[in-house]
Amino acid sequence: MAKRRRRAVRSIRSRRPIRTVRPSKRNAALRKRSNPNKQLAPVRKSTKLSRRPRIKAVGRRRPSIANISLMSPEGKSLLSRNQWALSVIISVHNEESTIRQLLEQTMHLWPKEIIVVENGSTDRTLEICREYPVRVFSYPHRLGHDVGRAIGAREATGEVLLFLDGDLLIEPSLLLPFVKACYNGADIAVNNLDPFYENISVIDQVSMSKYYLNSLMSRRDLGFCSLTAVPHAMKKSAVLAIGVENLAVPPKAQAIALYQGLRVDKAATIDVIFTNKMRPYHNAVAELILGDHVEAIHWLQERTSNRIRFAESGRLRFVAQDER
Amino acid sequence: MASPIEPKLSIIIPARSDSRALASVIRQARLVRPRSEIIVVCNSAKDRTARRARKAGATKVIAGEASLGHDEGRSIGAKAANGDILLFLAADLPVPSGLLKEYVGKVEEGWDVALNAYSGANRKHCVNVSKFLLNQLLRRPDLEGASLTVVPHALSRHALNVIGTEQLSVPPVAHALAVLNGLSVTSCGYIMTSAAQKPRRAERNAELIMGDHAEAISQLIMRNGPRAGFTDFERDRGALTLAVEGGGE
Repeated sequence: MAKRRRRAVRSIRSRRPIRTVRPSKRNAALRKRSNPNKQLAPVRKSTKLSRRPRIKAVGRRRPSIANISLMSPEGKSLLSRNQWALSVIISVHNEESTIRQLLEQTMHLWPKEIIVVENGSTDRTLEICREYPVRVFSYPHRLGHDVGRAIGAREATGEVLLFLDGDLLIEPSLLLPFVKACYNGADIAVNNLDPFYENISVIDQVSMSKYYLNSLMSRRDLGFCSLTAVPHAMKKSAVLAIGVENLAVPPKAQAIALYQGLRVDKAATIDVIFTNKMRPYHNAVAELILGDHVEAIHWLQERTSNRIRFAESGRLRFVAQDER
Repeated sequence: MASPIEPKLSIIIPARSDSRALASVIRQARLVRPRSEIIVVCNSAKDRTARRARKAGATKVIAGEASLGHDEGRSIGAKAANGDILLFLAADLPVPSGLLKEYVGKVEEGWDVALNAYSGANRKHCVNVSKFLLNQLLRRPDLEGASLTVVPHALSRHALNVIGTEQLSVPPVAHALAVLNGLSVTSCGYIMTSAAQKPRRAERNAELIMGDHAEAISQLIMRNGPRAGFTDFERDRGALTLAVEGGGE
């Protein structure tokens, strides 16, 4: 009996995660601590330690790329369908450095139309856009996050809409899987970001909220995928079902889509995490996305209950209240 | 030697009928402070559990007719408690008294809520994600995944009055109320509760805990508005209802 108890106690003793330090750094730190005044011999680069094969950076494993070549038979058939069915929507704000290349790349998709929603630009973005055969909607002030997308979606006439970002250059062959998923019956085709989360142990707040929302709607398989991330494609019918005004708050649009039982598929993986520009207002954007998720949860709670779809499983609240 | 002004401690242990470790839990609880009341809340009086609890030295054994729901023992135990500090334990998780003293000590120092700093082993499990997320939404990222859902934790009498006894049945709601009402919340110790958890029950409880967190978020929305006070970055939502300004080409 005593032996058994001891084992139970030991198993719950405090165990803190061990922080790992690279060997070279650790040695340097140890040396420093032992005698700060001592002159250190310069570390030779070709020591045995540095020749050791490096462990691959965790969490950055490159996922297999699912691209459809534009020249392949499949690509050609998709392109021919794009001519009458695809609208590409790009929201831009001060993107004169990338917009030219982006538009030229996008035209390789042979879309029915390209819709550019330009808002509050102070540089030559608008002039450059006018040089191309695109529909431009221009606003003198900033519309705020994701509102441009919603306006583009409202104006689009194609059967399938592809949403892109003004500062993100993506090969057209990588975009075709999203369009293809929608042609093949998906209502929404999202960017599959799960492979980037395979090996990491710490998740940021934004990813947590995405995962929580998906699991609230019993779609744990969607993992960290969200409409917040570009690129994604959507059928025009799905846009109408969700409501254009809700597209301005992407997590809310996702919650509505899942609530209405629209088919949401993970189409392909495009690295938007590590290629994303680090902006000065990065943390504020994280707050914005958290707020968006709260709004989405609020929308669900208004239509279901405070617990959304989870039962109480045998809790009798009156027991505690009766004795009050 | 305990001074006469030492705040009285109540230890609350909700027990199911299958709690085998109950005796050792009570034994450790008795060692925390020399004079403390130990309240065991169990499902049925005729059960072996009640007898076992009395034999091990529980001061009060509360037993109901009906089978209690998840975490409801906490509310009932807290209602019966007289102490100035309330320490909540689980019947299937014996924790050495030395570690329990840390939580009581924190409340004696003046903290209102002392949580277990353990945030779950797998950060990608939906339960742990929801605990982390709730703390983020409450603007307490320093708490990481610490939550009132997890035992052991200690509350002051003041905290209990502010939160309300019946809210303890839904621990994430109580957690949200504690932070929203400006109670001082801290986390200490690091006790892995998953060691005692039975995998099958854990999976069943995951759904319940997810729902509890949804309820906690609804509390947050009720207080701070539909975006819980987070920035909208001046989204021009009016632009969506206005007519198009620029024409297409």
